[in-house]
Amino acid sequence: MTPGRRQAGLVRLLGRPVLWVGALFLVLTFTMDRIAPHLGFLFPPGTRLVYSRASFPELVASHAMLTGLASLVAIVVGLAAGVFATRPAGRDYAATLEMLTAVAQTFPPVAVLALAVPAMGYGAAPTVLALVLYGVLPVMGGVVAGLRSVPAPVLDAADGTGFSAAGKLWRIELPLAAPIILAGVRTSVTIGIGTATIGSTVGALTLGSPIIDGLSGSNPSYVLQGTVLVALFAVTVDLAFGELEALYHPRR
Amino acid sequence: MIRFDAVTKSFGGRKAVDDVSFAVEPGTVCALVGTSGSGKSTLLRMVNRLENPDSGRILFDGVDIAGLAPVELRRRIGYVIQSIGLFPHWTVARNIATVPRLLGWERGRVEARVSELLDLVGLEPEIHAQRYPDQLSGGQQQRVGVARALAADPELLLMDEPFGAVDPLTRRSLQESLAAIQKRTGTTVLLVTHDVEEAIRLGGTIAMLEHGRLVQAGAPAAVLAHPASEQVARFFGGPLLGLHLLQVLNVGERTDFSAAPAADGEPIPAGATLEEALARMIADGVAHLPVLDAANGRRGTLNLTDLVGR
Repeated sequence: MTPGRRQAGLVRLLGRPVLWVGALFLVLTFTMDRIAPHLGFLFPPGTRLVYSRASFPELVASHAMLTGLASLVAIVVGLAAGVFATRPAGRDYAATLEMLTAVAQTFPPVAVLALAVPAMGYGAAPTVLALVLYGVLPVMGGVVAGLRSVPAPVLDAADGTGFSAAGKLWRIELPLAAPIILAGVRTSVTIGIGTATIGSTVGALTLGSPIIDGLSGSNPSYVLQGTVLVALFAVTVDLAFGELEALYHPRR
Repeated sequence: MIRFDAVTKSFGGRKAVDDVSFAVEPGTVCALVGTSGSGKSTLLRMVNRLENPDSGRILFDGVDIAGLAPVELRRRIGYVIQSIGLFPHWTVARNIATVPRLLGWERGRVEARVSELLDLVGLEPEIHAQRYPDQLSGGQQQRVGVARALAADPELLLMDEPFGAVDPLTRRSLQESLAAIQKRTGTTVLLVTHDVEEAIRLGGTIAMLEHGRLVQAGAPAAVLAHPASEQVARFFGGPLLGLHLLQVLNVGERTDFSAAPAADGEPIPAGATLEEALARMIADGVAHLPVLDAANGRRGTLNLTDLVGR
């Protein structure tokens, strides 16, 4: 590679906001406890400046685990439901499925938590459940919209050339639906990262923990720390999905 | 090759295909014609089981297709549709390779076949193989569609208004290519069209459907000379039907070879259509044309009155 081309590549890389925002997110995660003590002038005197119940890397890791697990389940369920709703066998259930997932999303996650705690106890489990219920709709919506966007002549040709039902789904329909599916997953995951904060009201360890503690203890410093990190987390992941979408052009 | 035996199919109580029986002989082109809604597409789609008949049988090489697995049957039959339906996320080469890959051909054989087919349909492997469908013109896309249908050497080619969506000039060139390819490969073709000229030009036989019923089947010349009904006559041009007849008869059939040519000028080949002969006469302002029958080494004369009959 020539120096000129390397330079051009570097410039292109630096032009990607995902790198900047992601780097800022990581740096703040690891240095928050050192920066916060210098920000006393922002808050009323006597405010405790550094959240100390857990370290920020711990909070981020736990937050990422919860949303990652919930997203994975939501993607699997949403994909399965979306594929089923667009198959000949499932077409009759499409409206019911879409209504069910819509209801699941209308249900406020806080209410899901409140109802789930008696059954599942405090902590991560009810949080993951709430996030899954909340995250399935955008995924399924994307899958259904994506699969329905595949042009009818393409489907007719796939049938006529002798694809099996599974072969047609796997090699023709899903690749062509992928951009719309990816957009649905992006919405689901990004919303999930923000929503996970409320899991801290039932004892899950997330970036919501400093926010909830800060709100109940009248400590704006804690609230600010949690808010900034969770916002950067969500924006980073959203931008990363944007890069992924730009990378994948099935129709070029 | 294909025999329809009392085939009937209804959609929501309306008979789309009503008690149709006829056969398509191996190695021939059969043009299935009729107005929109006459059931010709439905009949075609029953051959590769994209639709199934309510009653009656369809025999493919003597075997009732109701007993064959649809997926395997379709891999033995080429399928070309008006809207082409190329897979937009695959290159031209990959599109053409669809059925060979489904059949599990090895890589080298697939690649060789793809180049061969691109040549056959008049595209250049070096230029077009790695393009994507949206980088081709409509005519080129349909050439790829035909190549994809022919890829695994199907015994039968089903074509549903294959050239209906391209401009007349491109359509003419695609029709000529198809005729040449069919002659070379000997593939049996069942072609749905509502274009009379296309049916006459390509069809070795013509089968006409009206409201789902077969109203006439036969060679173009026979159908045009003796239309079975008012509708058939109207479909094939009404008052202009006689002009279409000129397209299916050739010069040799009407030429007087008994005497030496009485006319001067460039001779017209005996294989040309009477339509071409008439066009020459009008353009040159003559009533007699010299005829050369190169195959039999004969010369003769075609008179304007011979166009009417001899």
